[in-house]
Amino acid sequence: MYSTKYVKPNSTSEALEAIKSLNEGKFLAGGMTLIPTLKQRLASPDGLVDISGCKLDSISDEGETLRIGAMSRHVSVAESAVVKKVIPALAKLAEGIGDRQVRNRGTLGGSVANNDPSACYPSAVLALKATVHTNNRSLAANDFFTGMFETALEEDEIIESISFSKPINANYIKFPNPASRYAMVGVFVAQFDDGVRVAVTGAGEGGVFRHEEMESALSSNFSADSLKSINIASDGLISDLHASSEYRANLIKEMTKRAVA
Amino acid sequence: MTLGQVLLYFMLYTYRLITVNLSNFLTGIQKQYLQSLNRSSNDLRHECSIGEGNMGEISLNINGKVQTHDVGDNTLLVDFIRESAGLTGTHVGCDTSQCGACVVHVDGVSVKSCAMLAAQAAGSDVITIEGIGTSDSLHPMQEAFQENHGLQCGFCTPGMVMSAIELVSKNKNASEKEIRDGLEGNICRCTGYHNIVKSVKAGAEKMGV
Ligand SMILES: Cc1cc2nc3c(=O)[nH]c(=O)nc-3n(C[C@H](O)[C@H](O)[C@H](O)COP(=O)(O)OP(=O)(O)OC[C@H]3O[C@@H](n4cnc5c(N)ncnc54)[C@H](O)[C@@H]3O)c2cc1C
Ligand code: FES
Ligand code: FES
Repeated sequence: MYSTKYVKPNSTSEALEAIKSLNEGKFLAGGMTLIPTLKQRLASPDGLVDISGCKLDSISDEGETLRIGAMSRHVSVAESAVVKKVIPALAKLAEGIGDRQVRNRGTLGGSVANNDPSACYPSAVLALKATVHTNNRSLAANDFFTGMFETALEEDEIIESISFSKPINANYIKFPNPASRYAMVGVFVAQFDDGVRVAVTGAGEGGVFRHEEMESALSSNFSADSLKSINIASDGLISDLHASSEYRANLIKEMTKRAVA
Repeated sequence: MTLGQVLLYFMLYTYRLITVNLSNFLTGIQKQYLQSLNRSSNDLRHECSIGEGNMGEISLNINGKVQTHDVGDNTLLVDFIRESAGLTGTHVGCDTSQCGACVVHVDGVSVKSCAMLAAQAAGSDVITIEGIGTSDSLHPMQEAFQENHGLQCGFCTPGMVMSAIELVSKNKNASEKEIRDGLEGNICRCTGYHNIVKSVKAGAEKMGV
């Protein structure tokens, strides 16, 4: 790992000041992605701003939405009584991330900011019509993810929390990579008064995406049967040593069927 | 996107594919290549992380004893434990967050110490395998591993035991499936999982949690 400086501010405003004073500083949350990246010398920030002291880890039921602080660890979301009651699918998603030690450290904000094409949380953000609150604006999920490992975040912008809309019904099913538990394909289905949202992770070359054809089929008839006639195209899907794009296309339909069953 | 960004994302993506799926790659030449990569990255890590730039004192309470050392901000917790504190019971197996040989407890929570900076743990209580028992008086979980042949070469054992202690203290009646799921982050290269699961069950009873 290249030499770097470490600071741990006590508030978001101090964190922003710290990052501005660096040339190529990086926020450090759980470090589950960033530290391995640094160890491989794939990044060489001149400073790390640890945001774990910035009090960004509260979880609160706000009526229409459930707001989760960016520093909430996966284990806290998985075990939160509020999350389990209000959006159980979200607790289930968090419980399925990586392994216990990854869940003890990894955070919601880190996962969403990183936007790994195989990460679980981005599908929940997209399907649950979430709003990403940063230090200076609120971004709708549709505008937040801009491509594989790409988001609308500016260099010095910090995610403070994410508000998820409460669905009538939701479910997340993933086909985990047997080695890493990342999603080979993961599908988050959420049913709202005004329709169904289906977000797919692990499969798209451009990262997480919504599947509109399945959304409209499920909006008119919320059952696995309504997906029968749908053909999932393999164009634009990831093809790698674990699965071809055709296999992933098949998994998308299968995981969606299981999610609504 | 600039070309630089495209390259960086490509590298990040391939890095994850490679590291998280190491097992799929480990054949013939690739294995040798990866071993050589690993060796050189370890050499670099030791050269660069300890004693270089941005020095400062970091204090951790390890197994009840405050350890203060002057190390670089980029020192990994596992290096602080092994190199600075001289506690070599905590192992480095993969160095890529996969194997769990490096698991220790930080403020009562199990973490992979190869994926955490010592600075992130500053001021915390750290418990390593040396802190739970002695050779004369083993921790009940260690006893259970010994009695149930829960170890073969023993390389994964410190991490297995540290993960197992957290697992059973959260779920005293863990079923076989729950134990297997709970040890997802620990890999045994000798593949002795059957007896490891047995040991954890026995350890839970012995601990009386
Ligand atoms: C073995 C292993 C298995 C895994 N399995 C899965 C899995 O099954 N599913 C899954 O979804 N993920 C998985 N992960 C990833 C894990 O969920 C990480 O938590 C996640 O990738 C990053 O979160 P972090 O808090 O560790 O972020 P960090 O590594 O600290 O940061 C990641 C990036 O986000 C930026 N960042 C962090 N927080 C903020 C913020 N609040 N505002 C702005 N930028 C921020 C950082 O600067 C950095 O660039 C796995 C990881 C490992 C090591
Ligand atoms: S050495 Fe830390 S997980 Fe393998
Ligand atoms: S006993 Fe040899 S690695 Fe587990």
